Formats: sequence, C-alpha cells, structure tokens
Amino acid sequence: MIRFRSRVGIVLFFFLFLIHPLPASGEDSQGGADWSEEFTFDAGEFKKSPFEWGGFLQLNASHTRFHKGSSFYRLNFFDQDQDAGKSLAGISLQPDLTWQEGSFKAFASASLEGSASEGEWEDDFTLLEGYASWQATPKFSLSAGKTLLRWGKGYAFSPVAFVSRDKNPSDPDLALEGFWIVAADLVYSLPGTLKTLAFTGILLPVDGDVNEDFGQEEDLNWAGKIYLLWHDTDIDLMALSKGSRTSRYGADFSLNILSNLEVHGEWSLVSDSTRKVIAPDYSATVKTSDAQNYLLGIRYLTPAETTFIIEYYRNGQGYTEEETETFFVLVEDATQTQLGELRDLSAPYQKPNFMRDYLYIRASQKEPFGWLYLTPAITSILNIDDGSYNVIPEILYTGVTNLELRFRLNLLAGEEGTEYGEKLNRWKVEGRARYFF
Amino acid sequence: MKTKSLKTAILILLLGMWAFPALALDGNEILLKVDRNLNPESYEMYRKLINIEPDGTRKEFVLYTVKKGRDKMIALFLSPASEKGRATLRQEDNMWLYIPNVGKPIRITSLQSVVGGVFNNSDLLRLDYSVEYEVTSIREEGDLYHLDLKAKTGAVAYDRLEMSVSTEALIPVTIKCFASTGLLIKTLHYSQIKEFADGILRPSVLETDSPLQKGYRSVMLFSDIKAREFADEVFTLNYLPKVDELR
Repeated sequence: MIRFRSRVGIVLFFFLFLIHPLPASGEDSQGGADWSEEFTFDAGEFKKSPFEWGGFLQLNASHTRFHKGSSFYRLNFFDQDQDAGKSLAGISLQPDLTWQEGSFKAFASASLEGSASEGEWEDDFTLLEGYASWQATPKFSLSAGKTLLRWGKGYAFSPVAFVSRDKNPSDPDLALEGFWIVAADLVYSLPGTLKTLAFTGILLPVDGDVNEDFGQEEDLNWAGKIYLLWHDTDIDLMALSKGSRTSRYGADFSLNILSNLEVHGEWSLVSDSTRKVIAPDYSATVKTSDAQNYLLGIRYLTPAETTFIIEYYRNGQGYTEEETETFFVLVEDATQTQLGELRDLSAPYQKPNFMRDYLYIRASQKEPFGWLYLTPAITSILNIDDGSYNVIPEILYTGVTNLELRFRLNLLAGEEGTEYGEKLNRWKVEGRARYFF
Repeated sequence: MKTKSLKTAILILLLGMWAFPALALDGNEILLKVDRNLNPESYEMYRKLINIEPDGTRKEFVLYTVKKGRDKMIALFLSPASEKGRATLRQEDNMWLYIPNVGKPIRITSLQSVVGGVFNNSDLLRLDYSVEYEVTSIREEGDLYHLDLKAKTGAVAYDRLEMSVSTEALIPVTIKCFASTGLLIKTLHYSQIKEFADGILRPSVLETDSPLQKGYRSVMLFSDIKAREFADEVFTLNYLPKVDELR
C-alpha cells in the first residue's frame, strides 16, 4: 500500500510536470514581437460543414484525507477497513458531435470516464445530451431528445432549476446530464421597454427507464418558462406541474445596476415538499409542507479585474439546526446495527448543503502581478446556521492553446456537530488537465 | 422690410460658409458617414483576433459576427477549440456571455475582456460610433479631420475619443480612447484598406496598443464582411446558443 505522503507527492508531481513547460507556451510562439508584421486572414478555412465535432480529454488526480472522527466517516465506514486517505487517478473523454442541414440540427454529447483508486478500476459512460431540433423560423423552434436546461441566474445554487439535476456548488461549471424532453421555444422582439418576450414549453415523461431519476411516479410532466427583457432586466417566471414531483413555481431576475455590478436573485415555492427526518428512536418521519427557497447574489468586477461573486441561499427544504444535531448525536451513539439502518435512511443528510442558510463567496483575480493566463481564485461556502465552512483555493492556467490546467484544494472546517465539521473529508487536493479538440 | 433682412442674413450665412469651409463641417454627419463606410448597418463578418505579448508569444481567436441596426450584435467564437461555441450578445448597453458547458448566459460588462489582451468586450461588440458618441468639435488638418467625441451615456466603455479621419475616404485612421479622468486607455490604428463584398472599401486590419499594457498589442483582422438582414429575434438570449446555425 502506498503511504499517504507518497500519494500526495504523486499528485503534486503530476501537476508540476504539466506546469513545467509553461515558459514555452502559447500558439505560434516567436522569439520576439515583430511590430512591422503584415497580417492576413482568410475566413475560408472556417466555413461551416454539415458535421462538426469537438470536446475535451481530461486527466485528473486527487487525494482525499478523511476526517476519522466525523459522523459521516463513522456512518460510511463503520463496517469496513478504510485508510486515512484515498487517492484517485482518472481519465475522461467528453466528445460532442453536431449535424446541421438548413433548419434541422442534431447534437450529441457524451462522457466516458475511467478512474483507478486503491487498486480498483471503475468506468462509466453517460450520454449527457442527444437531441434533434428544428428552427422553423427565428421566432419558433422545436426540439426533442436528451437536453440540458439550466434555468436560474444563481452561480452556485439554482432553486428554480426545476428540470435539471442538482449542480455541485463547489464546482458549479461541471457538465450535467440532461433529461429526455420535448421543448418548444417561442420568442418575440418588441419595441419599447419590454424588448423581448419568450415562452419555453417542456414535456418531460417519466416512464420505465426514461427519466427514472426525475421522480418515482410515472407521469407526463410539463414545465413552462416565460422570459422578459424589461427595462434592461432579465426576468423569468417558471412553473412545473404536479406529477413525478410536486408542483413548483418560481421567478428569477438579473440586471446590471452599475456597468461593473450585476445583481441577481431567484425565488421558488415547492408545494408539499417532503423531508425525511430521523427521530431520536432511529425511525424516519416524513414531514410535508410548502417550502420557499430563494437566493440573492451579486457579481462585482473591480478596476483591477478581481471578480467577486457573493450569494446568499435559503434552502427552505433543508434541515434545521436541531434536526441536524439530533442526527449527528444518533450516529455518535448508534450500535453497529443501528448504523446500518441509519446509513440506509441518511441519503438526504449526505447531500451537499442539506441545511437551511448558506453564504457563497468567490473571488478570482485575472493575471495578478503580470502572471499571464493565470487566474487564482478562492471560494468559500459558509453554513450560516452552524458557522462551519469550506475554503477552496485554486489556480487556473490557460497559457497553452487548448490546454487548461486547474489545481485546487478543498479545506473543511467546523466544530463538532456542525455540517462541515462532520463531513467525511477533512481536506481534498485535486488537479486536472483538459485538452480541447 | 422683415423679408429683406432675412434674405440678407441668409446671403451672409451662405457667403460665410463659402469663405470658411471648415465652419460648414458637420462632425456628426461625418461620423455617420464613417460608420457606413466601415460596415453596413446590418451585416455578417469573420474576424481574427491576435493577442501579442512582449516576447512575441501569441494567442489567436476567430469570431463570426452578426449585427443588426444600431444596437444589436453577436460574436460567436469559432476557434480555438477551448473557446468554440462561446457567444457574446449585445442589445444596447446590455451584454451577455454564453458558455456551452455552463449552459446559461451570464451578464458581462463592456470593460471586461472575454479574450484577454488589449481588446475588451466593447471593442468586440462595437456598435456604430454615432450610436454611442456625439461629436463635440471638428477641425481639418492636411488630409485628416480631427474629431473629438464624447460618450452619450456613462455606460459607454470610453468617455472620450479623439478620432482622425481620412478626408478623402472618410475612414478612421487612428482613434485615441480616454477615460473620464482624461487617462489614455488605448489607441486604435486602422490600416490595409481592402475591398469587401457589395463594394465595401474599408480597412482590413485594426491594431491596438495601450500605455496601461506596455509591450502588449492586439490585432483584429476582418474578412468576408457582407450586408445581411436578420430577424430581431436572432439577438435574444433564447437564440444565443443557436447562433452557429446562421452560418
């Protein structure tokens, strides 16, 4: 078994190796600037062909250091031997293919992932999207197939994303898998203060293997979204019918109140939202109530090109501090048999950000100190209810054309009995290299 | 009596205009002509952007651009592969960026730069100069008009421009861009006049440098500029992910 220090060393070596050739980076590197150079450009080589493909190949490596005294460590590993840490090396390919002829288009994007950890190899294939569309007129289009819809204006959280899978707030830009839907899009441009009015209608069936993870009830669900560009403000109103999920309604907005300050918000009402709460006698009670989720955020760009994203998120469907404390005490006091029962019941408690009030803060600085193509950033998610938090420093390098290198550390901190204090991990270091083609 | 005085006044005015032609110059009219000489009001075009660092290292981007009327514009990245599919939309002072992986448009500002280098978003999504600026003074010197331009609103990226325009071709030669503090932000240099489709005769190269980024420069090359009409609905967030279908 490789010792922990060696594993961290491998991860660091991997990235130092990738970063080492940076001084020679850049497309068409030259020995010096030629200020009298004649430039030419022929767009002919960029003319469109019916078939186009692209995507990226990714290598990634990570090491996770477990928090052995935490509730989630005890819950997940009480019946097995587990090292203090876990290293993982992975490779993934995310290709996409587009075909277009006139107003008809077909698009497919897939993810092929393989990873090795503790001597075991796992692989996975996921069709992220696969749909056909018809742009009948610039005003009207129809599409059918597996489609990713990202409703909402929030960066880390999106309470109004009724027809999407949950994004990871610690890495919200990661690709997500779509759902099988039929969609119609109708859009009008208008003179005056209401500049755009658009309607999107969605049919989403849950039947057998189709969209089985959208909800347990087989049904033909519909959703709709109205978009307005009104007084230079983006406004969306959305709804999801009662079916495989309970009905829900929402709204969002985004506007620039200054040229370098954007404000956004989301609100949603989830009817008959259910929460599985574990009682002190280790039984699960399902609590049903209408829940309101909302978000208010800003994006601010300073003259020195530091971008701040700050979002407050209220998760009305989350657990209260009391319910969470009860759960952690139960895990602490549980026998082996009770831990087995708890593990089966605890899925909702193991979701990211399962409590009520959060503050997301991200600051990124473009090319500080003249370091070209480097963007350092620091992100933190604070659980306002219990004061626990994570901190994610990261560095992104894009100096080599079509190559993106990212290195990040995820540190978790919190008292005993708090969300981040009881997480499985104490810290995680990870790096990835993406080559786009 | 009144009619006679009016006739005399008009005569004096006409004589004055003949005697002092510079007084007859209408800066805003010249600016309108400059705009139309640079491109039709609605058009499509391809552009290559080259960012050049002091050591000669380069980054190149290719964009497909469409514009309609006075205030609607889209730029779609075709190359490099890491940027392909990104699209920026401008509607008056509103700007959005769509990134395929992120999947939803986000609002951006004119002073940001989605490509790095000396060009910022307002250079990439530049509307007609006459839409954003008012000519405050004009003078003729040799074969150039010198126009002083003032931004019509505070949302415009540069508060003031000093534009030198060829008197013969009515095409800009250099444009100095200033902040409201008077600080020179960058200088744009148009060159290499070339004939495009529909008889458009205009510079095919735009270079820029900035005292704020000494040693760096960015170059924009123009190709396949064609007049083309688009529906208004093309310039909406709903259409933004589909812009490539216009090509």
